[in-house]
Amino acid sequence: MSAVAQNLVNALSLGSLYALIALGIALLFSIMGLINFAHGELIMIGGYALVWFAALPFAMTAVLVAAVVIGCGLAMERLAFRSVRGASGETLLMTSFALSLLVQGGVLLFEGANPKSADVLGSLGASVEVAGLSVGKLDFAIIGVTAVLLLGLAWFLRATSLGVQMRAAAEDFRTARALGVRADLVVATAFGVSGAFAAIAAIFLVASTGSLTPGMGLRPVLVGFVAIVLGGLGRLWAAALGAYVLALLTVMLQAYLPGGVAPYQDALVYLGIVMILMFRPHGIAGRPGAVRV
Amino acid sequence: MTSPRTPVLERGVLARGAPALARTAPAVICALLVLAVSGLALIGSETTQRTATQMLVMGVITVGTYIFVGNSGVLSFGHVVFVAVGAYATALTTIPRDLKQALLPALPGWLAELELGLPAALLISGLLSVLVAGAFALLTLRLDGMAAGIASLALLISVNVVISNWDAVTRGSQGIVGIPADLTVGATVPWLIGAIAVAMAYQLSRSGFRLRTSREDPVAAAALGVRIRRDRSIALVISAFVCGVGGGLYARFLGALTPGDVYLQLTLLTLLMLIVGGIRSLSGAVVGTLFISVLAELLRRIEAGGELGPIELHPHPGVQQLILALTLLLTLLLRPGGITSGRELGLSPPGWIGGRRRAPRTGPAVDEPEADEPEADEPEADEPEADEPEADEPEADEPEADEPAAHSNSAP
Repeated sequence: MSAVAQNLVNALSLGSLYALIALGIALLFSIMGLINFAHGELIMIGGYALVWFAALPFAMTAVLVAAVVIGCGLAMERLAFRSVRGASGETLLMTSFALSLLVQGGVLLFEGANPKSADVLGSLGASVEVAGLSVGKLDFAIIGVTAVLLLGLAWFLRATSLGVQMRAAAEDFRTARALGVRADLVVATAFGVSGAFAAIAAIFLVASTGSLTPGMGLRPVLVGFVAIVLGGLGRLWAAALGAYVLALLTVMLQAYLPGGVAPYQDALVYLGIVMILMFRPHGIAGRPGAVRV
Repeated sequence: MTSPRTPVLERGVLARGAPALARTAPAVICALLVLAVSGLALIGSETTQRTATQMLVMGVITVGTYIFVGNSGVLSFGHVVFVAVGAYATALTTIPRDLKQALLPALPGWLAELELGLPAALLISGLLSVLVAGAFALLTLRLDGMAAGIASLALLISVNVVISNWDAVTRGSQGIVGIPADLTVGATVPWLIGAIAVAMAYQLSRSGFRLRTSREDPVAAAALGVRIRRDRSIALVISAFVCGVGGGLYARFLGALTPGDVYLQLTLLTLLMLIVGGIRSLSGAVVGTLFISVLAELLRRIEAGGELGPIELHPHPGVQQLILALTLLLTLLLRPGGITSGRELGLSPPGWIGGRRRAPRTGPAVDEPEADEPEADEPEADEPEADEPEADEPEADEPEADEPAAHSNSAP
């Protein structure tokens, strides 16, 4: 019983991290149909920025990391994505691929290919006993911060004018523009929020793995995609749901797969996703979009 | 040579019924281009020849991917799965028997005994890839757009995980070594020309035309009775066969094969070549391969440092990736249709030269968000061959000249 509970806690923590990543990607997808592969690179830059500013007090480091990542996100929007706004999903995706390679190449040039170690939030390394379960302090932090951010995002989207404009744009970009929503402002805000999520995800990711490489953005971004597709394209809460489902699936497979099959865990996870897509092409909670004629 | 007057001209791909030579001209010109570049490479050093071999192998893979992606307009991240299957199949069937038994003691007996020549091994590679393509078709062809892209990516990851862990057959992440790495430029050229011929043949087949119809407008195509999923399956199978053969060649080129060799990096390189060249035409696939290969080799030399002519360079890891990514980005932003903009290199029948039509807007990576570029005079259009063999049939496509078509669609 306690083993199951322990796994659930682990899944909750992992799912929170996945949700942070997935929401950053889903926000842009819902507004401009962009599957942003370069989101992983934002996380990677966040990781390196953590090392650059490591000497400062943590609060300042966090603010600077967020500033750097949000700045990079906005720069990507201004320099690349603005020119292809409104193009097909494939063009947007390939543009983000190109950006991702570009940023990786840049980091490779200046930081080298060798992994770097980073000690972030070392004070949260210990775990505490809660009702017979041992839960890392870092897990608490991830779960707590993500919950606050999700609530904050929900509030922002419902209660502020800008948030309502973003929801309108996500519903129907063209009509929203016709009704006076400023496209540039909405898209830039989306990139900003997405960057902030990437920065926070970077801090937690580096805190739990402790190492940095130029290629570290790949895995998170794949996880984010899968979570979004799993949950349902185009709905933010569905992306968060997908993230938690994916985490649960991952943790349960890790815990209960027999030894011989264990190495194939990831293969099973991804095959499972293909299967889900086969029967629910719009994700678990997705709605079929209208055919555009 | 009495051709029925079928006026359909698809930016370079002539209609069924146009003179055979004119219809197959893009393939012939592509093949000549490949021969010319390979011939040039033969004069060069051993390194240059090795690069040229790699370029030819990449050409087979790119053309193979094009057969599906270019004709169907569905972006696939999964074609490297077929390359991987082909690569491992060729590796396992061509390693010398003794070495194989030492490397992979757990192989089943019949496979451990097997030692084939290159053509037989490549044929098996292609056929195995076709089998995998069958499973692939069942799993992904129901999907469209982004879901299809993500599903093919998920399959690529799954297959890679299996390859990385199936120690008995693939030696896991240690990889297979000792594959005879005897591939030369001369031995590879025929395979690429063969791939180009297959791609051209499919492009000119009924299924190819139907599939491109569905690429331009799936709803209208379905209304016209095109069974999109069936034609996509046909293209996928042919595409998988060519990619499988390409994978086999790739294994023979590398000599040592690890799971990382047939994963995301190769996927991105293939897509890079296709998009920079022009994903909607066979010529684009070939031109893209040649262009990116040459560029990548130049950059590799810069990255490695040393002397490049009179300039002395310091090693700069990352430069290659940086510049290639920039090339892709600039292509997408400034010339979304790639170098060829969806056209074929070819013999342009007189009367058609001025009446070139713009690329339509849908399809992968070819949107034109900005106003279209003024490119009425593409150099290919005025190739001297234009009035050689077809001189006796100049009028066949005349009605097309003042087609008012695609000038009405301007992107907002």
